[in-house]
Parts: sequence; structure tokens; C-alpha cells
Amino acid sequence: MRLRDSKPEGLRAEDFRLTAPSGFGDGYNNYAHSMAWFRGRLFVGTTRAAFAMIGATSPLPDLKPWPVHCPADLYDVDRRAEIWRYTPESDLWERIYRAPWSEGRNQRLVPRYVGYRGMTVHQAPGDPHPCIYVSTWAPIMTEPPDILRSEDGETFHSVPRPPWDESVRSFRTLQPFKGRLHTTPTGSNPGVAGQAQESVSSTSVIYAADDLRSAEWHAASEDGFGNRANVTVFEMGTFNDHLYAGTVNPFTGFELWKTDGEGGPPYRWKRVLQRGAYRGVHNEVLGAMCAFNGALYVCSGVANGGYHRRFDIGPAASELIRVWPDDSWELLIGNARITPEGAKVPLSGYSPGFDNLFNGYFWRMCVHDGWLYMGTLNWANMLPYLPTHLWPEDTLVQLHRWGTEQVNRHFGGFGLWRSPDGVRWEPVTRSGFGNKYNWGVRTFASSPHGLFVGTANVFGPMMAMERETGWEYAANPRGGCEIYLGRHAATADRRAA
Amino acid sequence: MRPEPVIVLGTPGPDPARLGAMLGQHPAGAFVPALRLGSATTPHALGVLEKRGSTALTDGWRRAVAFHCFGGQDAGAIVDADHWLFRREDWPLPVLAGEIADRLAPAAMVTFDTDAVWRIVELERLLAALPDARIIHLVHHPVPDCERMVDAQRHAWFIPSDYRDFGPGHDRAVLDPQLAWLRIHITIRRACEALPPARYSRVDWHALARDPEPQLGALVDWLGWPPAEAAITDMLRPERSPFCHPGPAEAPGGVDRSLYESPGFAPRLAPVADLSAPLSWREDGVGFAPEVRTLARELGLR
Repeated sequence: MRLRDSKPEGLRAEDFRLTAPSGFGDGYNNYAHSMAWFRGRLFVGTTRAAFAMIGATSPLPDLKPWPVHCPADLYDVDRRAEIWRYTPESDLWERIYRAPWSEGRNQRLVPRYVGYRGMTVHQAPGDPHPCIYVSTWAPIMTEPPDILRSEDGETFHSVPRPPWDESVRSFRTLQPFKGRLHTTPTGSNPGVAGQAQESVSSTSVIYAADDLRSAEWHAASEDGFGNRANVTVFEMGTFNDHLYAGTVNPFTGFELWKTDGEGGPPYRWKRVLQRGAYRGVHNEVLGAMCAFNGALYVCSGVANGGYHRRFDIGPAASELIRVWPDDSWELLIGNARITPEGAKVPLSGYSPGFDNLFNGYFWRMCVHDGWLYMGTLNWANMLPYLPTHLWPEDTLVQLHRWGTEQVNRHFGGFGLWRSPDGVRWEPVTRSGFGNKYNWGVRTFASSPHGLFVGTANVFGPMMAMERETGWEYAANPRGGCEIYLGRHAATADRRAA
Repeated sequence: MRPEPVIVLGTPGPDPARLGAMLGQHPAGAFVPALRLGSATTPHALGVLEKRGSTALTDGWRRAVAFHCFGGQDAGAIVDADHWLFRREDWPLPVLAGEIADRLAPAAMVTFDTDAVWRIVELERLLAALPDARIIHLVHHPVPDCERMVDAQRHAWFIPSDYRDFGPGHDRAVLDPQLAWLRIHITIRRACEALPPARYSRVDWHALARDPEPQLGALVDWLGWPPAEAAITDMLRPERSPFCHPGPAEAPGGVDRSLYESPGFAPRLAPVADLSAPLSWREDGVGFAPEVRTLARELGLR
């Protein structure tokens, strides 16, 4: 047997406590989309009314009935995104920021921001101390999205955004590297009704700025790293004194690039992975990165949760790959394959999605107390609404054998897994902590008080439920994002009580 | 005192169980079918897994309990075994394995596993369940082993992804078990790398088949069992094991079904196999990946 080192035990399901249920009391807070630990408190940015937004995308998903009650007019929903703050000592949540209303192009008041897809703590040269920076999501009826900045965690103000065009609607990554902040757009809407895309942007350039208040943004990369098939730079991370960037490439599969950042911007970039690590378009997007134990861990899969409607890619589940400083790589979870760079077998023994097709993403990763945690997005809870009659017969046989509700009960809800070394994976929960409506782990934060887990849960406030008399919309008390805090002491406290 | 159990690990197929049954013919050993100690932690959990899947996961337990606790494998004994397991449904499987091992003492419990070898956490769970077990890592040359896996899968209505190559160059994933062979032996080596030589031994099936008596003698010596010549002769008759034949209709499984077709042991010369030749099961002229060739050589296969 391999002898484990003396690191603390990993967290188990019973070590987690729900600190914020039901979207902070408002089921329209669907996504705990971003998190940061700042000055001894946790900050969480939400994205609201996801299904109302999905209803404005094209092609529209074939869902019957529509899973969540949405007004006919998207702008009838109050989608002003919120930032919440948690003080562990008092166990107190406070909403400290709500997006303002803005005069919209439709002659109505519209929310300036409908979501916050990223959050980071960074000290720019002009900052008196580390500040919070937040990436925003702006509806098409307003200006493109800004970066929000807060020095004190009390007040938030926008700072000049990169010079992206009007079609850019959202961005995720705010990546500090060698004193600069880097970002790149990830969502777009050309202004034509129903053409919004949350994972594909109109440009795939990384922008860098020294001082965000100066409005001096510089392109740090070529558009798509010189490859037009790289339609978006989706994720960034740092490792081994390099900046890494992963793309969306719906034609040949994602690419991973890296730079040492010297002599720029623009920087010199080197391609590390291509063709979706030779899985092709089923690794269309690199969605998450995390440095752990001397390697860079990258999660990949198909955009839009495992099935990219616009490009008809998928469904397929997510993979996990490990990249070493010398650019060699190993497949940890995924499909075995013979590649031009050698035979790759999943060292964990798991096929994509931890052997679960419904795990469309390995969405986020986080290192806490020497363990790597990884959370999934799981779409099994969409089964009641999907046109399953169109599925292959063998799949249908299995589905009917189990029963949709049984599948949902056993496989619905995200998975949260932990690993001491990236190879050995064990589940913390495979049921969204017992809430099948928690379809994903969207964000993590490691803190001295424990590991915070923020979920995506779109099934609020009113969802379609099947009754004996047919489908009807009803209040869902477990709808809306949830925030969990995991720590060993929580278990010890309960035992003592 | 309970003697150290023995676990045979290898690729899916009849030979790990066959070798287990051969060891079970020695007076110092007693063979039991697959206990799946890496797959679940309790009988209840194993039953839940069985209900969700399409494989009879509990047959090994039911047959082992029926035979060793209730004296046979007929339908009545299986019912008794089910009751025995139900009363212990929340007991840790390692504790139950200890009960079986106690009943078999002074003979050592010999079992095999071809499931946990796919996944390191499951294999390590198996090794932790029997922490004093002697591990026999059974290796086959990748050519005949992959050919056998191809034969087993070719007529299946569904080929698991574990046996396919998802690499570029072909529109759909193609049947190619070399990746399964590579993955399983990597996993066994990784899980066993810290074991001392007294607890881990590698056995070349082809060397055993070519020259069984000295090979079995060496294995018995490593196990510390009495080296009686008659016992070695008995070990050449695995078909005498009650578990090398189908169980009753209520619990027919527990070992690889192909073992039932030819449960005996037939000495034979090693097959002619070339690690550098194109693979007979690939239509695109592909050969073994360099990683497979390297690992095969490291395992002593040419």
C-alpha cells in the first residue's frame, strides 16, 4: 500500500454545513457565480434568472415544459445581480451591493449587470492594498460589461473596461500575473434577438493592464493565438511562473497556451495542448485550471454543459488532464486514446465525468488543506424536460429500467470529489449535498475557516413540477444557489452537541 | 491463527480465477470466488451497485457463503447464504471476509479480482480490506491477452469504453484492448509499488503454462506453503474446484463465465507474439503504443 503523507484528512459530506439556502432567500439568485476571500470575509457574486436568459439564446433548447417559470418579457424579471458578504464569526450574510438600474436601449430601466462571473483579489500598482475586482455580465440593452473594484469590501465602483466591442456581454477570468491583471471576453450577443452565446465571444484576445484605473489596456495575445478556430479564450491560470490560457475551439478541440510574460504585452506564447488533447471537439473547451502539487490540472469538455447546441457537439462528459512544467501531460479522467504524443489512459481509472455522462463539466477546482477538490455540473435533473424519446433505444431501455426519478435521485445534483494526488479520487457528495436541484459547483474559496462551496441551482423560485393532474409551476423551496462551508470542526461541533 | 490470504490480480478473463483455483487445490489454500472487496464497503452497498448495473456482483459472496458456511451450492444453501448476508448487510465486507477466512483456516483463503484493477482507489480499498494478503500479479503477453479480449468483446452488443481507443484518426472509437491492458497493469503496479517482496509477486502466465511444476513450486515456496510434490500435482487440476463450474440458477456467477467452458489447466508452449507487429484487430495497421511495449518488457514479456 502506498503510504499517505501526514496531511489532514479530506472533507466528507458530513463536514459541510449549509450557510446560505435558496439563493440568499431569493430563488432568482441562481448562480453563486464567483467568490473571493477578502479581509477575513467571504464575498459571493450572483447571476440571476438563468432560465429567463437561456430563453433568449439560439437555438432554443428543446425543453417541455420550460423548467422554470419565466415572464414572457425577459426584462420583467428583476435581474440586478448581487454581491453578498459573509462574516464567519457572526454567521451573518449581508447583501452589500446590487447592480443599479440603467436606461436601456429598449427605453426601459434594465439591470446594469445580471451576473458576476469572476472575482479576484489583486493589488495593482496604484492600489493602496489588495482590492476586490469583479467581472460582470451585462444585458444587451446596456453598455458592455465593466470591471467592478472595491478597496474596502463595502463600496464597488466600475473601472475602465478593455476596448472590446458592443457585442461583448460577459467575461469570466480576472487573472493576476506578474503585477498585471488579465482578462478576455467569454460571452457575446451581436444584438440580434436570440443570438446570445454565453461561452463564445466576438473576439478572443487577452487584454492586460497594469493599473486598471488608467484605462490603458493592451492586447497580450493575438486573436485566437493566430488560429481563427479558437473562437474564445475561455480560462486563464498561473503555474510555474507562467500564465496559461485555454480556448474554446468547436472545430478541432481546445488549445492550451502559455507564456512567461517577459517582454510584453503582447507576450510570446507557446502552445502546450492542441486538438482537445486529441479528444477532438468533445474537448471543445478548457473550462477550469488549478495548480496542485507541481502540476497544472485542467478540466475540459463541451460548452453549454456538455451539449453545444449551436455547433451540435455532444453530449459528452468532462475530462481531467494534468500538465507538467515540461509540457508533458497525463490523462487522469477521460477516454483512453492513442495520440501522436503517446498512449494516454485515465490514471484514476475513471472515464469522462467520473463514469457519468450527466457530468457535463468538471466545473471548478480548489486546493484546500493539501487536497484537490473538484465539483461537477450535472444535468440529470433536466431529464424530466428533455426530449428523451429521441434518444438511442439502448439508452432509453436503461433509462426506463431505472426510471427518470430514480436516475435523478441517484445521479442528479452535482458531484464534489476530493483527491490527495490527482489520481486517487473519492466522492464527497454525488447528490448536490442531497439537493438534486443543485446542478453544479460553480465556485470555491479556501479560507482559514474552511472550504466554501457555491452552487448553481436554476430551479427557483417557481419550477415546473409534474402532478397527478399534469404539469404546473410551483414554488421550489430548494431552488436558488446555496453556499456550503466545509470544515472538520463542523462535524466535531455536531458530535459534541 | 488465520493464515495470510492470497489475492490474484490480472486482466479480466478466466486465468486469474483459474490460478486461484489451482492454488486452492493445494492443502494450504482454499479458493473462493470474487468477493469484490474493492467495489463496495458492505453487502448492502454491493447490492445497491448490483441493482443499478447489469452484472451479478454478489454471486461470488453468495456462493462462497453457501459452500463454506452451509455446505453446498444448491438453491437452499443460496437462500441460507442470502439470509446470512442480509443479517450482516451493514457489516464491513472485510469483516465478513475475515469470517470466511476463519472458516477456511488452517487453509489460506485464496481469491482473485479483475474489477478493482481498473481503478486505483478500488484496488487500494481491496488491499486495505485484506492488509496482510499476499498479492500475485498475473501477467499475460499483450498479444494473446488482447486477442482474447477482442474475441470476448467482438460479439458483445455493447463494447465498454474501457476497451476502445478514442484517439484521433478514426471517426468512431475503435476496439483496441491494448489500452485496457496498459491501464490495468499500470494500476496494479502503482497500487502495489510500496509492498515488500514478501507480499507481492509477479507471475508470467505463459511461463507457468509452459513449465507448470517448477513455476508452481516456486510460487508455493514464496507463499511459504509445504512443497509436497503431490500437492503440486493437485494444483494442475483447477477444475476440481466447485467454483470453476456454474453455480445454481440463483447464483451462477462469481468467476469469469469463460472459465466454465474450459475450467481445466492445459500446459502449452508460449504463443509466438511480436510486440512490434501490426495488431490483428486493427484495420489501420496500428501496432502497440510505445508505452505498451515498454511496460511489457518491464514486466518481463518479450
